[in-house]
Amino acid sequence: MRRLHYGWVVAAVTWFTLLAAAGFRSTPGVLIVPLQQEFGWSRATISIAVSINLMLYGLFAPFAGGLMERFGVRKVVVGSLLTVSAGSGLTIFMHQPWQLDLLWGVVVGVGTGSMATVLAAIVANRWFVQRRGLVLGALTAAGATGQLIFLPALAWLAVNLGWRSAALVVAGAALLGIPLVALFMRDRPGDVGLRAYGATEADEPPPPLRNPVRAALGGLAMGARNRNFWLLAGSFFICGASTNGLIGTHLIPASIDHGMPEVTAASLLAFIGVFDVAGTMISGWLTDRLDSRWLLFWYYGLRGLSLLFLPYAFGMQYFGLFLFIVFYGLDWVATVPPTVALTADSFGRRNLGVVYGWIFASHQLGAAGAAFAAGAVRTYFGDYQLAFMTSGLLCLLAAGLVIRIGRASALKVETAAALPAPSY
Amino acid sequence: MAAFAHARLVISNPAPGALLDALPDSVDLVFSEPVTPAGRGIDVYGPDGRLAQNGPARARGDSLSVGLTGALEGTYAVVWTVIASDTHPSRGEFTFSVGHTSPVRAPGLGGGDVGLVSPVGLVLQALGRWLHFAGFALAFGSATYALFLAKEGRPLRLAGVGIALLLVAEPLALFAQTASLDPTQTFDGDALTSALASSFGRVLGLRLAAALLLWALLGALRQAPWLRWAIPGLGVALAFVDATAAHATPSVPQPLGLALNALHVAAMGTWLGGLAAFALAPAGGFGRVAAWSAGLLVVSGAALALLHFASPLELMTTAYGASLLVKLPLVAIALLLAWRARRRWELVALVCVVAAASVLTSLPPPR
Repeated sequence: MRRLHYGWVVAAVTWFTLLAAAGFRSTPGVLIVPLQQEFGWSRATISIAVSINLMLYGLFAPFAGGLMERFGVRKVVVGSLLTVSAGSGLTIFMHQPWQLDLLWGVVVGVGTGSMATVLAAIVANRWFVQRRGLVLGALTAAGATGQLIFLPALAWLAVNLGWRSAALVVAGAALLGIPLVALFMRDRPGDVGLRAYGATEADEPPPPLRNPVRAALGGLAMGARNRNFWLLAGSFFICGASTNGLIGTHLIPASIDHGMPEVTAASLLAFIGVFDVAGTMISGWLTDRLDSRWLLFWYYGLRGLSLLFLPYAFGMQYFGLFLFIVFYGLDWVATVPPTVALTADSFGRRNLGVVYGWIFASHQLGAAGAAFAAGAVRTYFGDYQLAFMTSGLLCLLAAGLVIRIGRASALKVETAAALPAPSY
Repeated sequence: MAAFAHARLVISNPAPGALLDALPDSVDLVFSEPVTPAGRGIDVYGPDGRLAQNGPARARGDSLSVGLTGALEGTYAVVWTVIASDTHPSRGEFTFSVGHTSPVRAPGLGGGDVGLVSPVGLVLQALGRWLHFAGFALAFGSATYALFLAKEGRPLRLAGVGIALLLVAEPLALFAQTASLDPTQTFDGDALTSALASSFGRVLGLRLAAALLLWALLGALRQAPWLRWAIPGLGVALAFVDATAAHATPSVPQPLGLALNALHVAAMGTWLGGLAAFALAPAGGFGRVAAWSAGLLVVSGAALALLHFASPLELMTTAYGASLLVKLPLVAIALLLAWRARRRWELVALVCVVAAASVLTSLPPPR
């Protein structure tokens, strides 16, 4: 009987960690209305904390990589879980908006950010040579789906037992993860006397990361000189704004505005989480066969049209909304494989990591901006209509931007290895 | 009170010029169609020049009312600003008195109006519409010409100009909307907010969407030439969006009115846009396209005129009629120039026709 390569155990633990971390990251969306009801804070105010959370989830990633190189994966993940637990648990004592910004914004943002993008990349890179793409895809799906599938349960808790119960459950789940990680996670295959899965003698171990801060800034400098970088970063900014920022944060409150119970609304987002797994797989398959710009043109174009249609869908009983959810779900993470492929085409595989890190940071900046802006729109206009329409227009703009990305080279660049999986 | 369409005031309580014994609880207004308030909707200025209402106006279907507070005697001034479902704004004002009359003190009063909107608002509206129509023609008309008739790329640059015009026209239209109701509130946050939240805001969003979508489609043509069929389709869709924001046509079913308006706009776009593109890249076959467009334009225009006018006398008694009287000779000149194939002058004439049409569509029709 062949023993299971330990890499698969590490991958499984990482998968659950990413799923949980994403779940923790997404909890604030469920708490917006209960917090508004208890403290009287406006949606604009609460959205600030969500923005900080989204921004740090992305921006902290390049630096978390450096931490993992210095202190090892296991220690960093355990530390992150403790951070999340503390941040979430302490919220039950808060009574001022700045405390929300600090705890859910900064503390939980940094904690979950250290367990996201870079963790997947490092684990996949160190433990797998064969099947690296598959592992990366699975870890990506965990990070994306995790932000959505726990929402109905969290919403049920928030509605029936109060929002503090949801925060405590998050804190408890983070604590429960610690023994799991401490027992099963290992930093490198060498620690258990193995080579990476599928590695032969000839495969070099991946080179240690350069000084992460210098590498990160160097990548930014390289990208900034290139027109394609701005087109990719710009369109991905709009992607983040229209997924995590707008729908991920505000679909629940918007549905409640239209008379839907919170748990039902949270289930809508969970459905998006289910469909996005299929959407990501299909998109990855398509990216290997079709021009990435063409794919992105359709993804952003249709997404824009669906957002323009959303205000009307809210009026059409639930059928229109259901259509929106199915379509949006398939489209949710679909933009990632083609964007990564285009980044590889434009900058080469060696630089893919650092450059893509910044494009992903742009995604999270868009998410943060939209989370706040939509909250402000709702507070000052009393309705999300303007937010949905603006988002729709931005997506149409993105469609026009991506189709104008410069011609890729004739060579199809391998995108398997060295990808920092964007689990967001 | 002027008896124009565009949401006109039908009944008001208190009646204009009434002299009452005591201040009523509220001012109630009933309009000729369902309305949404623009900004506060109703401003009631007391004899001391200060607002005498106790909150924003409440709309219910055709009616708008606002509660009153205080008990001052003297003349009160009521200024109302509403948006009809065809996205057109209208305003009006009247006075009533309690106990005795007194000099009217109301900052928002006496702005005067041309066709239920302030003069500066009318100018801005006309300008905004002109930019929009010109942009529509260049963007969709020239692009269709380039892709189907001339089969060459130079006129597509005109389409780029058209997209820019379409985009610029919308903020201008937004300010025109607020200026039409109260020029002092052109840049006021509340006024802009309610304009954006109304049906006008939705039309604005859809127009911007059409411009952006065209820009995206033009970029994708290299990838998928078959997408060129989507461009005239999008143009027709935008013509329908414009039709929903055009004056409602009474006495015929709404879809027919919409179709006539859309046809009119689409025909204009084909003719004007095609002409501009033709100036850049002449191609055979344009003569026939132009002839068909002109024909459809004239027929749909005639039908619309018949629907909007109850009698030919109104041509001379209303501002709408006056602008139509300016537009018609220009159309005749354009047709004449087309017949003689003096394409450059035909283009100039058509641009003037569109300018006259922009003024026309900003005024309320008799019906």
